[in-house]
Amino acid sequence: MSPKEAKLEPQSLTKHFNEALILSALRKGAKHGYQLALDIEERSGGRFGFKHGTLYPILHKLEKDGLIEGTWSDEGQRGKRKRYQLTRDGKRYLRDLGESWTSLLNHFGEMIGEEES
Amino acid sequence: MSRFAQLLSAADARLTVPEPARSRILLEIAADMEGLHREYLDRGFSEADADASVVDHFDLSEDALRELVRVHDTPLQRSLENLSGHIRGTWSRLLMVVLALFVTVGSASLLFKGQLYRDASGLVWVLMPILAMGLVIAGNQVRRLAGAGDGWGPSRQSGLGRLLGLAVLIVAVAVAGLWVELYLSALRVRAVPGETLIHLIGWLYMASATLVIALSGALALGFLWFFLESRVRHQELTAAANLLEGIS
Repeated sequence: MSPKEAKLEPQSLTKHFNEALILSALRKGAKHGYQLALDIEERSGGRFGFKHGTLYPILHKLEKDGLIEGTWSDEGQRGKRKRYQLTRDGKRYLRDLGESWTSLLNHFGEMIGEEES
Repeated sequence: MSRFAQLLSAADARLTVPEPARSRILLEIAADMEGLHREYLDRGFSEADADASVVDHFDLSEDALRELVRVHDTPLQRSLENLSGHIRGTWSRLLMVVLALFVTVGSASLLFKGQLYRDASGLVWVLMPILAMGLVIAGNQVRRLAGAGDGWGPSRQSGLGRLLGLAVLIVAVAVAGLWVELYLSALRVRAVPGETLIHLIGWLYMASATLVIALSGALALGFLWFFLESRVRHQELTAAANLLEGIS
């Protein structure tokens, strides 16, 4: 399977936005699903909140695309849990996605900030 | 039983993805719910507030369920579910065991004859490492299953799909090799037309011996997949049922 390309399609901006949030939350190490949602909410100062229920389809899709890897581990008293971590393709995809978002937002900012001549 | 069994049961009823994905999704959600609950308690929430916050955060919307179905309900997974679903009944499993024994005994009586390997294509020695790889994967899975008792961990499932892949690879390599051997035989016939029958019969010996070895190896890996998959599935379903215990 060829690595997924980070191309922002106008009709899927929400999807790419969610992907970027999740992948960036995994940059510092493996996390459980619920930790991802908490991390995103905290890092964004409460601006971006995930209902945990909506997290799983995105996580499973990213896992299927090979951008993240989910592994189950026994955490003793806390039981068996699934943790996700970025794969090499995922790190590359996140870097490309970051550049695409920066370029898009800069362009968007310039467009809406243009003064009428 | 999970403290969130009611919510999990509702998700279970609406989640129309094939097994074992369904059980795994439920178990993942259940584990995360417990994790988040503990997190809220650590942050000073009361038990009731922690419960309510978790239930609020884990509400699975119709959109989310639809997306999960889109990710997990592929034709391949559906057919694998049907295939392994057929071996869940006692009689079906008994039939599989009898069939496995029959094939094993039948193959073994041939496989232990040195003549078979002398007649077979040299390609057989390419198939052996593939078969060995499959046996190592199966051995690891058996070890993990035996070591964990009736506990559950979906990571034990990882690698089982590769057994089927290796079984298919063995047959594919053998069949491809036979075509190459047929071509080589044809070249010999062209060089010495008077020996056509000798080369043709030689190829038939070689082809049948190679196929016996390749198909025996592929069947062995196929049976191992059936039994291991069945065992893992049983554990996952049991674990999912335990979570929902007491909820009708």
